[in-house]
Amino acid sequence: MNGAKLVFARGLEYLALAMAALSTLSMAAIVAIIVTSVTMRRLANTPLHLTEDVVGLMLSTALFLALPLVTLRSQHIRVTIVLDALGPRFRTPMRIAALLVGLGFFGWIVWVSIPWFEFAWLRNLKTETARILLYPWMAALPLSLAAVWLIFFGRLVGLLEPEHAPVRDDISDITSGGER
Amino acid sequence: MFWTTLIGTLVLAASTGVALGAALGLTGLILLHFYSNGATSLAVDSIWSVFNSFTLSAVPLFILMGEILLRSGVSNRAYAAFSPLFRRVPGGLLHTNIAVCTLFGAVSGSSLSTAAAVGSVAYPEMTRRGYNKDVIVGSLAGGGTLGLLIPPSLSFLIYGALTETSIGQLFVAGILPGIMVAAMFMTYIFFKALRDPSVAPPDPTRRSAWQIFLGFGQIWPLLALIIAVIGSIIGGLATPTEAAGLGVVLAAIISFLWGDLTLKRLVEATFRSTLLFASIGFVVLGATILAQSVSILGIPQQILLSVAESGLDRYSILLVVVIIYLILGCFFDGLSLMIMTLPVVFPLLTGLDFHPVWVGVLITIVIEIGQVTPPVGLNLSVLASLTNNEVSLGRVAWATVPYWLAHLLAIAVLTVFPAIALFLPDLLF
Repeated sequence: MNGAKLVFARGLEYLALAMAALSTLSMAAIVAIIVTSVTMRRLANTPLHLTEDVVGLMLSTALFLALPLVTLRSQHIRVTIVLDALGPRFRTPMRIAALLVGLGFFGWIVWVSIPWFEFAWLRNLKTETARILLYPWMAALPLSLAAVWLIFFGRLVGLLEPEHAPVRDDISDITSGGER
Repeated sequence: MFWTTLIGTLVLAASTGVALGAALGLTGLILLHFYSNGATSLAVDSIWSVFNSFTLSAVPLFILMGEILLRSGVSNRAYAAFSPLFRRVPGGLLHTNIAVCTLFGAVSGSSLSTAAAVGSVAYPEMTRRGYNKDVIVGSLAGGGTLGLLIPPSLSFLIYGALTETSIGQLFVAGILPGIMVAAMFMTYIFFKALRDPSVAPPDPTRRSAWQIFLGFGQIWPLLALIIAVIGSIIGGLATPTEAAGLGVVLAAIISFLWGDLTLKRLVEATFRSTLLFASIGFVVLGATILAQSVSILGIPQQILLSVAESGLDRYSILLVVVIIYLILGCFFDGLSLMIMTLPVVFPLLTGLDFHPVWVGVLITIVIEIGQVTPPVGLNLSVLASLTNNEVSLGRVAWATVPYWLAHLLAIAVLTVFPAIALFLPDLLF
């Protein structure tokens, strides 16, 4: 059992990290494409016709692929006022309630995104301007949200460590001068 | 029944402490399922159309630009340049806090980053010089809010993208109100220090005007970056997204040559910006589903109709909206609050003939107040943690009251003189 738990936890961690790395690459690619596009337009008078399409697709990819790691590291924005007021006695039931809300939302959205993805896949839908095939990009939505659902599930059934207090990584980072 | 479902589900789900985006999204899905004949598939369509957007990509890029500058020690240099300027003025370095926050606000889109970046330099220096700790953190928490109003601003970017208002105009509209609010803060500090000089001990060191001028020579790259980013938008040379992309590259070059940026820190900055964007983006995602469920049922139009029939004049309605924002701002993070309420508030206020750009400025100021009102005032938490809880959250909140009162005064002034926000966009666009 412990072996399976470890494999599940490590597997999800590596998956989330790999997705976040891809997401970071998307972000870097957005910068590169925009700068190339502006340079080409201003200096060579030949604007890249695919800039807007590719940047839009990469933005959505960057967002969805980063979500599993944000969830794993408890970096989501949340309202903790009720939780703080209730005290430690209610912490476990509230944690379970939060996990159930998360499972409900992510499960539902993954469920409705499958026919949405299938529709684009079967018809080979493409972007309007650059004619880029959409479904490989669209796949990031159901896949990432399914990974987030797995994280919630793992926490609920004890395959993953319970969620720790929210980490404001950006704040701790800044206040420590960027050194960790 | 609809309102009971909406408010009940949202409150119950959000109070469990789950990610706010999931609480918003689940509420939206339930509304779509039960009140729109099970049209939940609309949720995915709306998410995709919001995020598959060139305009919205400016949000992570401006976050990245701010992160790069944060990690390159730029705030130290800006602080060193500004501190001699206000030595002789009652309030001394407290004015420097506001001035550097204003400057940093022009390269960072977020109020939180501004407060943290300036605070991490200012707090140790000022406590060493014997300044009153509460007054220091008050000025930093208040000054930090300028990050959202002074362009580039995440608030304006998200507002513009969601309401299809010109982001360039919004950016330009934020300049004069931002300077006005900074001036109000400085006026308060001036009189506070005059009345009680012990809060800001005088600095006996004398510096010539030439030395002060030379000090400013140290921050020219930062000024060049601000001019390049904002100037390219105003001058019509680049869209806000293009300006953000170029700003990232310029910030990286400047930070490599002039600051302490290394390749490792650049990669870290990109990675953390991506995660920060995802955490903000997830709230947008949930709010998009909720907005879709609310708008498909024609709720904004119904509210508009009810308001029109209520007999209240437009300013009374504006007052009610501001009060609701102030109350909700105590419990929600500013950007999340804006994203959640826009589907109703934007059509309501523009339907009452308030200018969309002016509404954007107003909402930004109101959510700035939310950043410094407890219990969920993120600027307060950052500063309390910056002081290692030497100044408790409650004390930070109390010290910040004059600053949010200044914001309220700014709202009143902008309501009486909307041209303060609209003059520059009218002139330049």
